[in-house]
Amino acid sequence: MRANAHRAAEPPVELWERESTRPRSLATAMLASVDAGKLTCEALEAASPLMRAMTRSQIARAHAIVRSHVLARRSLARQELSRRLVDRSPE
Amino acid sequence: MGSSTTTQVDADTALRDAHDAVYRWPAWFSGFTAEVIVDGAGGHSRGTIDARPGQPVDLDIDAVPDVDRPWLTDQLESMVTHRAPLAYEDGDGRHEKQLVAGPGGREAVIRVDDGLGSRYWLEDGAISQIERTIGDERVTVAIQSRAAATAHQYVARDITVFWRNGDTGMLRSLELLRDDHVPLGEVMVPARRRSLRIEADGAATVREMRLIAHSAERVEEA
Repeated sequence: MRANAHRAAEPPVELWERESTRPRSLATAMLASVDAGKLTCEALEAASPLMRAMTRSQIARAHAIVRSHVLARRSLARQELSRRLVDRSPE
Repeated sequence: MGSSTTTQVDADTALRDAHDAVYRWPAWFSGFTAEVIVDGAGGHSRGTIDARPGQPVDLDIDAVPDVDRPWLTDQLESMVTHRAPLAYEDGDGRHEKQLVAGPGGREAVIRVDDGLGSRYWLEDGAISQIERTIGDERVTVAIQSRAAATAHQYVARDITVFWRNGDTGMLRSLELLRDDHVPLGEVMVPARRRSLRIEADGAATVREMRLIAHSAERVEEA
């Protein structure tokens, strides 16, 4: 998974751009919940009005966007931490 | 205390006890890495995962066929999410709830006002079935058997998941799951999930993922 880091760091723009409005809206709401520090169950409940009448596939695609964003952020945070450690190195 | 309040307290106590019986990782456990082996609809593939509580699973398995990747991602995240620490007060404990059937008996049904129309069936103090509405579907998860994880907690072993049309109740698909967990130091971690999924048109898919060579930075409490 470490070798995967450079790919995960790229924002998943394509995933977002090729998606339709409803999964985008759901992904936006769920990311806002994640940013607000909400737990998975809270995020799901907060987004429940948006999910009403959405298909399993649309919800899965929204989850894929959220997953990609969160993993990209985690990868960027790792890279930033590595960079700081290198900067602080006496070498 | 009025009867409706009594019912609320009874429901809350029963559901709290049932949640407490489900094994979850201790708060100090930061997750694990493992090799993942998948035998799916698209064939055999192998990779690695980095699983952390409360986070999406980082999956590095380029060779996994597109037909299996969403299944693999969903199942890994489901297994990790259900092991991640979650205080009752942060989950169902936040909501009003009612005991809607079987008060005080061997079985109970509890309705949770969480916006998802969730219902829990409890049997002998353990969760036997969960039902909630997600999108346009009513999803039912039936726990068919359990495996002991600690002296007082279990992990689900045989699970059946039904997806039904939220309006008509017509069955769309069902999935039979069998899970195995293994110890890693003092914690139990997912080791295998086998799945048989059947769609409404009869199409069936068998998949299995195995996790081996688990590793954690810290595997027992200091």
